[in-house]
Amino acid sequence: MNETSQTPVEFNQCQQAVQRLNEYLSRELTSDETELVQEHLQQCKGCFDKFHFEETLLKTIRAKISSVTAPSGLRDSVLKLLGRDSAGPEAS
Amino acid sequence: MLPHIDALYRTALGMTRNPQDADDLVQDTYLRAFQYFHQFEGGTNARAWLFRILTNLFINNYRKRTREPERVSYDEMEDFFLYNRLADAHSSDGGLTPETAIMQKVEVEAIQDAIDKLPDEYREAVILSDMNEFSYQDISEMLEIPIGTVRSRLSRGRKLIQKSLWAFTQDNPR
Repeated sequence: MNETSQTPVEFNQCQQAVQRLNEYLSRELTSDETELVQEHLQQCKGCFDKFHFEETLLKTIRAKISSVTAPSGLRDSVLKLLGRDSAGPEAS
Repeated sequence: MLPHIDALYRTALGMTRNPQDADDLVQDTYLRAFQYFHQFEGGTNARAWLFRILTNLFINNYRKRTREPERVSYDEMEDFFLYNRLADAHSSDGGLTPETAIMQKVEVEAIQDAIDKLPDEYREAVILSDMNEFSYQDISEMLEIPIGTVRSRLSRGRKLIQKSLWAFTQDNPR
């Protein structure tokens, strides 16, 4: 909750931005809507901090998850399956 | 060789929650891609094409028959749940910003755990969107659900992840 008191108009603008949070994070907004949200974020520190946190969280999740890689055995299995391993036709 | 195998494996593991199934699913995916390669139109998105094969195989062969019923109360969760908790927790010690707290405290295991705990429908949407950055349109086609459903599952899934991550930081203070 913002600690400073807001006029109804200000609150409405925050609400409009927050409604678009998930689409904003997923880059699903139209360019007009994106611009509207970004304009609001430039004017409202409260929303800016929160949106920035959400973006950081998403980036952190993506970065950390991408450290999980396919087991080496799996690569070998797939290559074998596709007939592309070292014991391919030319080896026999 | 084998472009996208890491992302495919991560996705398969997230969807099946079983390393053996994930292994099998990835192998099935490449095999089918190989078989149908002649149908792949060069110039279109190879990654999306592979993922479409994977999700299709997952839905038809690996997804549990009985799925957890969707509980109703998730929309009651506030926006910015995790931000608010972290801001409150650190407002007195003047220390970590919520961003710093999150980057320091949240490890891969916590994230995997949070994703694993999600109900099936939310987990699938979160994996495709937040792990793999597919568009709502792509996700809608891959999971065979309307775009509106993608939106709501993603919204709820993300809130539940925040709840899990908060619980994790509480259980693992540093």
